[in-house]
Amino acid sequence: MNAEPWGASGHHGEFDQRLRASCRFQVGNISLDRLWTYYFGIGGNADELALEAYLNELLTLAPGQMELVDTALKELSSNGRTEPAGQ
Amino acid sequence: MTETQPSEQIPVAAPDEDHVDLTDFLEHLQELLVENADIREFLQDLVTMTAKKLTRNGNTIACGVTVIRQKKPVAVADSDPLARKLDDIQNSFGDGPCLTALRTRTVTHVPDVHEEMRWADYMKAAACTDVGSILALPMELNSTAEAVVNLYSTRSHGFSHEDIAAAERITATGAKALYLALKIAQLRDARENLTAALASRTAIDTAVGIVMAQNRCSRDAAFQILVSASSHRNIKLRTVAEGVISHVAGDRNIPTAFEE
Repeated sequence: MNAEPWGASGHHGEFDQRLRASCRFQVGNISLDRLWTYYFGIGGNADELALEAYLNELLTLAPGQMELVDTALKELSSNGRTEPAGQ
Repeated sequence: MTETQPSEQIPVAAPDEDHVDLTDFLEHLQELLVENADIREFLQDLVTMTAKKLTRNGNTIACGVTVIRQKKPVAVADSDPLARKLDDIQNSFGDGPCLTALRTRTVTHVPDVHEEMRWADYMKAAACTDVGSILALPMELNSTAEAVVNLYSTRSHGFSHEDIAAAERITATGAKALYLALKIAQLRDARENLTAALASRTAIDTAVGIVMAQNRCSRDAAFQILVSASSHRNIKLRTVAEGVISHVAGDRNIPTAFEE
């Protein structure tokens, strides 16, 4: 499953993707709770503990789940910048 | 040069010896909690009441509160422009008696701004305003957040031992109410986020099912198609999902049955 190319991440190793997600989470000023809830809302299946372990680089997730974590981080941070009124 | 530990080092005024009656203060805080006021409104009333309680015999006290979460000030309220200005100066320097009180969790007292040796940059800026003395008291919020009450007097030596003891009582009382208000707000946010997540997940799962049927593909592959569409067009995943659904069903509203 890990060998399967997944869109934009196809050129990077899964560790790179994890590291980027981890950095993005740390600078993003988003709580783990908030991120997990959002990630769950867009269809994520990993539980909060697994997500936390992933962001601390202790665990890997399935490629599709990693994509969803990236999507959640991206959508949450663009929320903060452009939609303060909570659209 | 006084960094006072709460209560123990203050010889005068055991709690019942100072003459500040807090009954109306408590009642008002309780009302604010019951009315479910938002945090800003809550803080604004808290600083106004605190300033009023401590203003005595023509010694006008200005009050500001700064709430910090994840090392950033998230909410600031001030009883008047002087407090606002001084709080702003301090938050822009990232240093000063109030932030020290917050970090060290001790009451910090500056009896005379013009003679104070600590926080040189801040004191230089503060000396240009009308402030004479400063008292900063950290609030105990059981790690929901951190907060500090900043009291400013236009007089030097504007805070007597009795005033400091009264300020400690008021701050401790205010902190309990603020803790509850923050906790309520936090739980309310969490509930709203979960409700939104359930609604969003329903739409996305439905769209995934549609893509699976149309493309005869696995769930993972269907997800991948939606995620790619979302990131290439820079549209939210949920919006993409709603588009897929409305394309098939002409219906953008997918209700999620969810009892609170």
